[in-house]
Amino acid sequence: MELIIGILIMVALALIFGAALGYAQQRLSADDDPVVLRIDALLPQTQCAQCGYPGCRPYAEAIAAGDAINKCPPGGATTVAQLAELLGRPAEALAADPGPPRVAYIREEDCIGCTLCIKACPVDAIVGAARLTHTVISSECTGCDLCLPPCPVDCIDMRPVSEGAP
Amino acid sequence: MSVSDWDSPLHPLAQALDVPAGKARTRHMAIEASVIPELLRLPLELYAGRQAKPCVTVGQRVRRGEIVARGPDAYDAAIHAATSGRIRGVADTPLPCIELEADGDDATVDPEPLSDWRGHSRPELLTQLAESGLMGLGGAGFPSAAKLEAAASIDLLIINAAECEPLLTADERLLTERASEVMDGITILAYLTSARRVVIAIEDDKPEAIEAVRVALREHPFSLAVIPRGYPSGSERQLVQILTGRQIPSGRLPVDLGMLCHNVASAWAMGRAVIHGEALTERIVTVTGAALLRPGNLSVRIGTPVADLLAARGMNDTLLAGIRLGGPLTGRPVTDRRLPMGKTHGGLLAAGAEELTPAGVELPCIRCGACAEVCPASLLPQELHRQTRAADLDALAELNLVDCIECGACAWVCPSRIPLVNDYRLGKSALAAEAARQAAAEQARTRHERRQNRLEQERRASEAAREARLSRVDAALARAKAAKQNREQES
Repeated sequence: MELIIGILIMVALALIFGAALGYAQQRLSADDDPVVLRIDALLPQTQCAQCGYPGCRPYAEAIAAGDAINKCPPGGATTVAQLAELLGRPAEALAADPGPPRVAYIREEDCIGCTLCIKACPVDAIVGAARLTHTVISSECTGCDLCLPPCPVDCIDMRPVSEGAP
Repeated sequence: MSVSDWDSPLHPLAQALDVPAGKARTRHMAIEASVIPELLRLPLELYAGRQAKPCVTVGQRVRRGEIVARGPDAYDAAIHAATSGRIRGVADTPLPCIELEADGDDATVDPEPLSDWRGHSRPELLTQLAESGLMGLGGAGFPSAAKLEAAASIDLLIINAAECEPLLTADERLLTERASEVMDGITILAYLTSARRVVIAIEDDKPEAIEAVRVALREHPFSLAVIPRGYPSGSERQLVQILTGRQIPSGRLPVDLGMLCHNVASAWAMGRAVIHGEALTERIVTVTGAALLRPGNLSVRIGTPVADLLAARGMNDTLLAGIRLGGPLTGRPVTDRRLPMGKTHGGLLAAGAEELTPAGVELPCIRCGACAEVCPASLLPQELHRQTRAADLDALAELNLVDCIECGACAWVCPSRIPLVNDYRLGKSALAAEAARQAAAEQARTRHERRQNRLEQERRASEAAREARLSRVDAALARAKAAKQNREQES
């Protein structure tokens, strides 16, 4: 009799804890990989896609999966060094030269209001509407160059940050 | 001892530095008006790298006290024409400024005093201070109206007249000659902050100023604290510690502890602004140094170029070891003599070789630790030096570089003559740049994520619309099919 009671108690406990753990896994699961988040935090968030991925977060996922850490020109040597330290990998030389930080500037007299650059901007830093002049919010521009290719009239310049838009 | 003396025990600095004060040269020289140069450069720089925006046009004639530029915020200090003349334009060298050609008349706008100032509301008084161009004259240059707005009710108001910087005597002369006007300003300050106690702190090597304050205090309910001489007792955090024994935690301000520090020159300017309606267009500057023939305490118009001021006092270039805007320890080296005197500059030093922090060939750090012994902020100067040279920003943040008050005590005692404060300034700006970079990245990340979410929602909405359309087509086809079957069955 005592043997059966003992077994029953253990089974009951196992069921209770199992249910609790199952519930916890459902409710409290980390929906993001912490390594990816930490890598993403080190990237400069220009969303420029110069690394070959469509943004910083996808590149962070790729690094976590084993891709090289030297593909981010805007981050420069600093970012490579920080990534190397975080991941315990050797700091490689940068794959491409970053150049000075720049922001996009739309020459408004040439803009035809086609909205193509607005659709291309990864951080919504261009304002405007169809057939109305567009302009760049220079404080939000990350200098990613992604608005340059879609522009049909080549009215966007990249200017050094210090000069910026007048 | 009189009733007005500060009655709490003082807590003198443990690591106070005994630098030769050298104040005897100008201590007894009465304040005199300085030259008005032909061209004034009115600096546009406000606190923390922000700039005032000009509100005059090129060629416009202005009178002394007219506002020529305003800051972005309501309580930013306005910038005024320091004499009458014609606006020549805006220049970027040697710093962003408005160039004003003096016409020699020195005509002044009609003052608009708030003589019955107790009848005005707090916002009205603060606006008057901002419109009069008031900012902290002790060195930081924080807009006075903004500082007071955050301190509506405090326990202790400290008027800082310590003037611990060697060679400078501007505050000392101000108290000696104009103590009652200073008291007027302090009365306004005490009213605006609802301060329960007010104390004026002076170092004990200024007997004339102390006597003048004692006389003036017979009519005012403030107290006087005579603190022992020692560098840097005039630094805000150190002064609070000397007077109350309390340390202001890193990253906090005196106001968080119910205290407010105000420089004595600011208090004086405040009285002039409110009671006399005078804009801040001049300040008292100690112009001194071994390379000057006629040193003195001068009432200098804001915007006077360093070159004009030095020339007017008989500069001897052969004796010159270096020019400093400010005192010998905290002053900034002047390389371009076109630089104008700003509101925060209480001193101009044309120093001989023996008056500056020992200069010469910089030698490697020998890790003697002398700097750590004198650091009033209890930092580790030699470690900070090592890490600024290594540009290790994480280490600098960990060593609390932001708490450095740039007093220059470490560089003064350094046997290797390392310009430590320069290193720390560079390190601080690197840290600030890094913080700005991270904030920008964070902002870009948020905007990018919001955009991704929006695009995702738009995609889902269009998919749902498409499915709805398709299901309507399916339904129509089904109806048509059913109708056809019906017809077939009927026939």
